[in-house]
Amino acid sequence: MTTARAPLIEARNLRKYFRAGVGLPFLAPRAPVRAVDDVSFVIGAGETFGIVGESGCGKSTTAKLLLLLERPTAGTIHFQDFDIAVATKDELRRYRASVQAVFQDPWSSLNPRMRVRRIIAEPILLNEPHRKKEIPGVVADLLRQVGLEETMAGNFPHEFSGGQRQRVAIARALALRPQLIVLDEPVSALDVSIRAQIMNLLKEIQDRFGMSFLLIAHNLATVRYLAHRVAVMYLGQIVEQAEAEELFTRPLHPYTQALIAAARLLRPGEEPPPVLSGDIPSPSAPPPGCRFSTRCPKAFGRCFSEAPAPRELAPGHRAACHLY
Amino acid sequence: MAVGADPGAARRAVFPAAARMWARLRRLPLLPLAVILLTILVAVIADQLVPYDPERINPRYAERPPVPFAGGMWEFPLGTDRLGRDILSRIIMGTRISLGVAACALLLGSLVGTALGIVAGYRGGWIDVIVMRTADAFLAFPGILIALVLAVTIGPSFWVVVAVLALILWARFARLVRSEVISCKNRDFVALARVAGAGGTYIVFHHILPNVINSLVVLCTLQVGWAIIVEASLTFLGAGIPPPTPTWGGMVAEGLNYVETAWWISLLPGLAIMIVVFAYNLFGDWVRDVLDPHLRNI
Repeated sequence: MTTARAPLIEARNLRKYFRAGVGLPFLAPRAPVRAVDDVSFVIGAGETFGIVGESGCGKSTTAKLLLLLERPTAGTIHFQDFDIAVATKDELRRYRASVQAVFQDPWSSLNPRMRVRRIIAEPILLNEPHRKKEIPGVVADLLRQVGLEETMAGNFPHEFSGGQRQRVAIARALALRPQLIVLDEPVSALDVSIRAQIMNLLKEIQDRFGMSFLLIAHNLATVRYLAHRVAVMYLGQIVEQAEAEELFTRPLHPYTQALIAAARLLRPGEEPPPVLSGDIPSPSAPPPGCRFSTRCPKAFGRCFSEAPAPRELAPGHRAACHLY
Repeated sequence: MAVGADPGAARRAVFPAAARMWARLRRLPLLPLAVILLTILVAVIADQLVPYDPERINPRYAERPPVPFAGGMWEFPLGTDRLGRDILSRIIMGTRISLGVAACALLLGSLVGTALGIVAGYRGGWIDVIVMRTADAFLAFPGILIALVLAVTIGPSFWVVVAVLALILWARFARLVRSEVISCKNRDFVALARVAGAGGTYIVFHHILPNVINSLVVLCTLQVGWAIIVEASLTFLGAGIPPPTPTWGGMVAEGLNYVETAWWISLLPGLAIMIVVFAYNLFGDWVRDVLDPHLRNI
């Protein structure tokens, strides 16, 4: 079951190290935090690619790298026919107009001093100023697309509920008809009753416009519902990557297995699954060998000394584990 | 029907923001606002308002007490000073000086402080370090001392007082604005603006400034009282606006030696300072509560 989709964006060996603290003279420099450490993936056109993992695993940093909010320490991002690192000004402009985002917290992602009309139209004003005259019509159309009233264009964000605000954020992300929308935890700040509505809206939008999504989430149910392919991240690395159904029904990596087991609802009287013990090691001093070895229930000798390379274990299903 | 019983309830349900605004307006401090509007009006039309030239000396009527006291006369309702100058006229003219100094100093201080605070907060790094350490130095430096030195070296004047106040005020503004900018620039809407291709100048003017402006207005109103007091203190010490210009601080100083016999010379301008400063502070508190409740600590 490999994807037949044309690749839209490809990340190769992305790394992002953050310098820890201010370097003081006479003190040994502190080890950098390896937020993203050698991550590679491809997002196909029209595809939803999900990244799951615990907080601190580097999934949001990966999103920021694709949004050009952070500069990668190493590695490349290829979009269509060019490499972001060496792109011309014109290509970068094209990239920015083609990649938009929806963030987790709808209270932080809308400027409280701007009317909804301006919030939604801002990407157009910045990228296609010659279309200024069309804006009222475009905004009305976008509001309808996300299930809001056209008359709400003149309102300020505080007049909306959380779910409505996230709809406004989605309308803004759609304004330029982008080819990729990065969804960083798009529903986790919302009430459970609203989540399904927003997830369905995202699905509808993808069906209608055919853009790709990069979905960042810690909630497995969200990812399973929306994503076509899923990558599991642990401590800055992708440990397993497969088609969504394949990953959730036949998880190979012990970390994926533990995540899925921990998220499953228990039947009455059922024994809870063994819980992963210990904390995530510090990303500035990852353990030698496999990064999961300190918490892995199946770790054996080799795991503690030798880092496993990701290998394709089934068609389209890659995992980095010495067990296979 | 419930809606029919209270038409206001339906309106509040439709316009919750308007209802909230109305609730705040009802708590408007009317007395302080009246004092503020009155003083501004008096300052603007002081020339037309004064019954006498506030600097005219008239020894025949020196040291007249205010009207209700023995020896008081209706020609000089608030009495006269040692030189027979009309205290009412001098207080009226002093209003213009007090408010003028405060307005000029705040304008200058807030413009410089806001600009530097935005640059420091938005750019960060070494610019931030330099601007903020300089601001700390200015805040730590005793303003009265600067004023005395300047008064001695270049002579006391209106603009020296304005400069001294602005030298301290810019640092207060820079500190407040910087912290607001830092908390604002890390919010998601700024990141989204960058994703949409916005540059630094656009973000500062469209996303950061509109979110900082409330705090600026609050700080401005709260600093008016402070500026008036400091101007009065400087003038009282002789480092402010030189005589014979009528100023409240100067009048308090002039009457100081005769407090036992002619108390009104010092007391009345002192009351004027107190009432006006009170009014601005109370009004500033209200503005802060309405615009920016999280600023309770300034």
